[in-house]
Amino acid sequence: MLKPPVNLNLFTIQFPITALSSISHRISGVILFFLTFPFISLVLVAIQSQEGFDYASFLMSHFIMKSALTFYVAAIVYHFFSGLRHLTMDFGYWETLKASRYSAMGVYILFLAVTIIFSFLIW
Amino acid sequence: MDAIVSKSISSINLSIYRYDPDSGKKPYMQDLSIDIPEGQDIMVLDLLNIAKEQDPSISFRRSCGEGVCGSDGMNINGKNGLGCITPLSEALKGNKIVLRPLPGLPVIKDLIVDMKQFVDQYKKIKPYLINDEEKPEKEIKQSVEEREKLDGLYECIMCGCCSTACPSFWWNPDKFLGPAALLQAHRFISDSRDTATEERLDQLEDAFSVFKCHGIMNCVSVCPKGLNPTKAINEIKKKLVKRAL
Repeated sequence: MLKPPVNLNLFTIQFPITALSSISHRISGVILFFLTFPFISLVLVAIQSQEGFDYASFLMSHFIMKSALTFYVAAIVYHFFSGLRHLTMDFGYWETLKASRYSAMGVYILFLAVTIIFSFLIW
Repeated sequence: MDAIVSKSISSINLSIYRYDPDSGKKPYMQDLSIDIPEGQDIMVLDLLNIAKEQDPSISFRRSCGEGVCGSDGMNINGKNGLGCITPLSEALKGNKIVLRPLPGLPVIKDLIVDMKQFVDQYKKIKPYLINDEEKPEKEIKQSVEEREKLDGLYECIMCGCCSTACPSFWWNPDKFLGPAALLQAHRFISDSRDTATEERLDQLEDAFSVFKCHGIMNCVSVCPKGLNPTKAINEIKKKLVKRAL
């Protein structure tokens, strides 16, 4: 007998903002995982010597590196605020659907505001 | 919203998931144009009944027709719900409605899914009162406060809308118990008459059973009875953490 099908086309399923918030948290976590090591390495190079600092400064003056840093900072900012939201929920607050929706929206608003401020500093 | 199903629209475009294991064909979406009674806000189940008159081969479960038995759980325009208590005015997107079976479970035919995985997880939590104390002559009494702790937990009708809206259950249907089973687990953990609290918590202590829940609240947003499994799961997590400290 053939294996029965399963209806699991994610594009046909509606996700509430609380789910989108969790998916974004995971995506930002993956970005942090891949970009933390290169940027920490660059900081280590910069603090080794004057030449290292100049080299790191030169690299960071390139628009691709600035874009990568902006992307990385955006991921940190989102992951930080979303993480705080999850911790708050773990402590038993914002457990209703309404509160959870508002807190998810709040995280997105904070994320945009803080990322814009950091972007000005980077560029 | 009632205006959507007003006299100006008498025809609804229904797109319905079709699968017949005997046909040997893959599942497909069938489009039907359904004429509905004018000026009435009928339920999705009523629409299905009208569609069945057009095409008697359409299959779906239903029983009480009033949101008590939990038989007609389905995915309505992307969101799980009970066909019998979801009005068209709420479900319609424009003039269209898309009906699919509950996500993540094997499809038997059309909108009918095999609930075995769901029921197996429910069995695991031992959904009955365990009391090894000497039985009183009549009932085991509870105070009003003790009884109140069960509110929001016992009302679950096991329709499966929550568990089949949960990604953790989609990916680990054999290891993660799912919101419905966990809501019931908390119902018995919270019951002052139950003496197996520690054993129940022991069973839930692994990395999957409870802790695969990441609080995304899909379950709460689809529950047709307005229950909050996420809150119940968090309560279990807190009890497990407290016990470990």
